[in-house]
Amino acid sequence: MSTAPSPTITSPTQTSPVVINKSLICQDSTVSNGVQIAIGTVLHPRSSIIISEGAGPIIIGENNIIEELVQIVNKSPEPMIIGSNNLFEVGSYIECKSIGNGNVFEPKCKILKNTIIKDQCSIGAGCIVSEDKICENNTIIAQTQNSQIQTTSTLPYDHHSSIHMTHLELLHKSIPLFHTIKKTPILEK
Amino acid sequence: MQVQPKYFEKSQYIETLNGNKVSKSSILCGIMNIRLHGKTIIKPGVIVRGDLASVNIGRLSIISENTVIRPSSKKFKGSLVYFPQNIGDHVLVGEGCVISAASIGSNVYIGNNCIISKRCILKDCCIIADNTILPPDTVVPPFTYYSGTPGVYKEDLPDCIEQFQKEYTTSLYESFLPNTPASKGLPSTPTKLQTTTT
Repeated sequence: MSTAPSPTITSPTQTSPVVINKSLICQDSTVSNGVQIAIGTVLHPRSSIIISEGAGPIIIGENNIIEELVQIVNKSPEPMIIGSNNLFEVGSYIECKSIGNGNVFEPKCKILKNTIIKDQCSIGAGCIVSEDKICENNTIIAQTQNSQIQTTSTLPYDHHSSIHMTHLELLHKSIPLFHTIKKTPILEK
Repeated sequence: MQVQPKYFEKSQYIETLNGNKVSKSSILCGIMNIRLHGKTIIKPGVIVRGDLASVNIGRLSIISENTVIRPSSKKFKGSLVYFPQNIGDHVLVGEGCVISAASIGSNVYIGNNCIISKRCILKDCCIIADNTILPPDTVVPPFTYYSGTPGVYKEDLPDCIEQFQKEYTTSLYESFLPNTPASKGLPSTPTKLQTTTT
């Protein structure tokens, strides 16, 4: 009997963790019909997810962050599948076939068509990834003056995974204060 | 250096008492956290993210089209923190840039399509060439010229760059004029010339 009150006293003093139970889509962003976005994904203003005429759907997983001026375009008839915990930074352009989990796309990178990106990759700022390329797990692509460097390492993913969840919590707290959020029908069952 | 006057549609811009000219098609998120110190031009398509952290932009600065200004973030005591961004006076930022520097000094020129990555520090009187990508945590010293991908030191700049940049930005500001009936009279002169030649 004496143990019963103790959790009730401690629970109000603890800072309650942010429960992410919806996706945030800012009013200024453009999302085509037929795009499926899972719980926890954040779309910043002026981001766009576009399905061309006659193209397949775009399916986006959980807990992605899609920043300003990012374009995710599907032009092929097949569906485009994006995993979870990805970070798309400002101005990147994505047209590829599929993306795995835990990838980082730095500002202004371009992923061209039919490319497959697996898990935990890092695409550097300003890189243009050629068509029909397959990036295995932990690939790093970086751009220099006149060539591209490709290596494999887990370092960028370690850094990304350590801050991604706190980043998401911060955005879920702060963005609804400043932006009007699009109301979306819930399709998940 | 003579700068050609550039006219803008008066209905497309908001002019404040301090002389700021802000385009209506720019997106300023979290206006209470954005401080423009006066005589600043913000052109169409610019995004300033004041909702993440506060942004200070100094006097006589010009932000060109489709540039994104967003404060940078850092892991601090186990959680992520966005920290305030300062941009100095007489700064000219080109088109299509991504600026997430921690601070930018005065009299800085940034070319078109540059990426200034997270937590960069640009000191006073430096020039960043077009299409430069500065990697995260770069510190650009005063009176230097940086270019390339990744952006590296190329050469020193003369002392006169400070005076040059001051005069250039003030002349750009002064020649950025609203569309007045006087400016509409200008195109009529070439048509007259054409008729005389024919």
